[in-house]
This record gives sequence, structure tokens and C-alpha cells, in this order.
Amino acid sequence: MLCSRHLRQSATWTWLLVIGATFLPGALVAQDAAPGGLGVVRQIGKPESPTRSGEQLEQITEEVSAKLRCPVCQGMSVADSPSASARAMKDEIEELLAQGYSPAQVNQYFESTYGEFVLLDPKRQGLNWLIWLAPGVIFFGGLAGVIVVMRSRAQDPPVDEDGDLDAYLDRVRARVGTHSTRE
Amino acid sequence: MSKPSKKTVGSSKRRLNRWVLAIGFIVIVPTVFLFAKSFSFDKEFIESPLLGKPAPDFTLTDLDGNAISLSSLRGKPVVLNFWASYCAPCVTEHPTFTAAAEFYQDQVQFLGVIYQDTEPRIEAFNQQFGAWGPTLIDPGGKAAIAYGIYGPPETFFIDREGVIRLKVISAVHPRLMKETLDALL
Repeated sequence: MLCSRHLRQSATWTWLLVIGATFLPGALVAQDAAPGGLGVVRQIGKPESPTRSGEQLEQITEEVSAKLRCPVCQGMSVADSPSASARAMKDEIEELLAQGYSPAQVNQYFESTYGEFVLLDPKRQGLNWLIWLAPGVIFFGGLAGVIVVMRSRAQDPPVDEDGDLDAYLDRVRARVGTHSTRE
Repeated sequence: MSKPSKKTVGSSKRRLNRWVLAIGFIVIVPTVFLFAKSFSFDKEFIESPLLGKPAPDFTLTDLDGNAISLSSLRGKPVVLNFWASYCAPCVTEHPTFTAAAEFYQDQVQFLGVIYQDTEPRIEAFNQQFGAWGPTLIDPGGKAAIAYGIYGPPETFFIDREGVIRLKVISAVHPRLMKETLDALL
């Protein structure tokens, strides 16, 4: 009797542990976004990394914030902007990273709400390649241009570019009564 | 040593000049375009990625302390307006919201969310102009982030199923308000 009660209690505890292990991570994910409780549901999924804190969290928050655009500024990152909106975004970034979301997940979340414009580094796809390749094209194009010009100048002998100059000078010399000695 | 003819030298120079001009054109035009694009910033031309997607759910309290959940309003269209007392277009669009809230009454739920503002200022604003619906407090601006707000006012039209159908940046025109809500009803 005692034995069977003990077994039943053990089974109950086992089931509680199984249920806890199954649903606790989900509950942690939804902690900020609990329907019924105060908060906002973030459509971001489950954290992919372990939780972070301290100096590591501070450093990674700076890194992620530096790559997201402040929505109310002109070309400033969330990390650099002193605006209230940027501060709120930075707090959100820190909170997500602390919960174990990866930088890629955080970027994805902000992109899913603000659009690609929020990313300071545009994705390497489609027309964005123009932005990534333009500096190299400009540099090497300019360099090629300079080389072509310098080579052509080195090859070309100095010539009289003004074809009418000789005729004009002949006229001048004729006027002053001298003959041209120029070949 | 034969001297190159002036005509030949002149035409090769012209060819070279054309090449330099073409390279300059190819390089400079995209550069100017990219700089102009990166320095110009008009949020009205940024399309929200949330259009056609389920509106992010939230539960926030209004100025009277009542908790309001977006998901609990499923079944009727919702007009969700992020606004602030310091924002001039918010004052401009206020009569449009007041008139729409009176016109549609229980058919449509109008919700305001405070964007980066203080409660005393919002209360003073509501006392001066009147409140057209519950004014929700957004601690930490999390709802604003979930909706990708660039600056007030921004308004979302959410259909009966909770899907975002339209986002309006800047003041909502009365005609746009009516046409959109008539289409959602």
C-alpha cells in the first residue's frame, strides 16, 4: 500500500517534470509576449543562443546596435543616436540578446517590422550589389582612366594641336615683311 | 622619322576624350545617385513589411488603467494610431479621428498608442481636444518597435481577422479614412 502510493507520487513528480521541461522553454519565450499579460507579442521565434549577461551582453548589444539605423535620424546608427527612439530600440536589442536571441534573429526581427531600410548594411542581393560594388568600380575605373590617359600622353609626340596656327603665322609674317623659316 | 598627321592625332585624342567622358559618366552618375539616395530620407516611401500580415498582438493599459488586448478585438476593424502631443500632423488629423469614431461608433475600434511622450502631456492634449478612443501607454516603446514606427503619426488599418491592410504615414485624410473603413466593414 505504502509502496503503491510512493510509486504513484513518483509517477506524478515524473509527469510534472516532463510537463515542466516541455513547456517551460515555451513559457520563457512568451514571457514578454504573454497573451493576457501586459506586453507585446514579438514575432521572432525561439532564442537560438544561450542567455547573455554582463560585459558580453554589453559588447554584443553595441555591435548589433551599430548596424541598425535609428528611425528618426539621418544616417545614424541606433548605437550613435541619443534620441529616445534609438534608446528604446537599444533597450529592446539588449533585452532580446540577454534572452538568448542571436544577432541575426534580432536583425531579422527589426527588418520584419521596419523593413530593410533599418539595416545600415544592405543585404548582398539584387540592386544592393550596386552599393557594395560601386566603391571598387569607382576606384578601379578611375585608376584605369588615369593609366590610359598617362600612357596615351607618353606615347603621343608633342604636336601642334592648332592646325590653323601655321597659316595664321604665315599671314602675320607676310604682313611684317618676313619669310617663314619654319619647316 | 615620320611625323604623325595632325588629323590622326586629333581624332585619337577625341576618341580618348570620349572614353574618359564615358568612364566619368559611368562612375559619377551612379555615385551621385547613390549619395542622393542615401542622404535623402522620406519615411513615406518606405513600405511597411507588415502589410498583409497579422497585426502584432499586444496588451497595454490605457490612461485610466484598463488593460486592452488587440486580439480581444478580433471580429471588428481596428484603427491603430501611434501619436504624440508634440506632433503637428497629429493635431491636424485629430478631427478626422473624432468624426470617424462618432460616425462608426461600435462598428470600428479606434485605438491610440502614445509614442515617446509623457502621460501628463497626453492628458492635457485630450482635455484640450477631446479623446476619440482609448489612449494606450506603450512602456519602453515596444509596441512602436513591433509596428516599425518611424515617427508619429502612423496609422494602421486592421481588418476583422486581425490582418494589417493599410498603413498611413502622416495625417490621415478624412476621405481615405472613410473609404478604407467602408471597405473593411
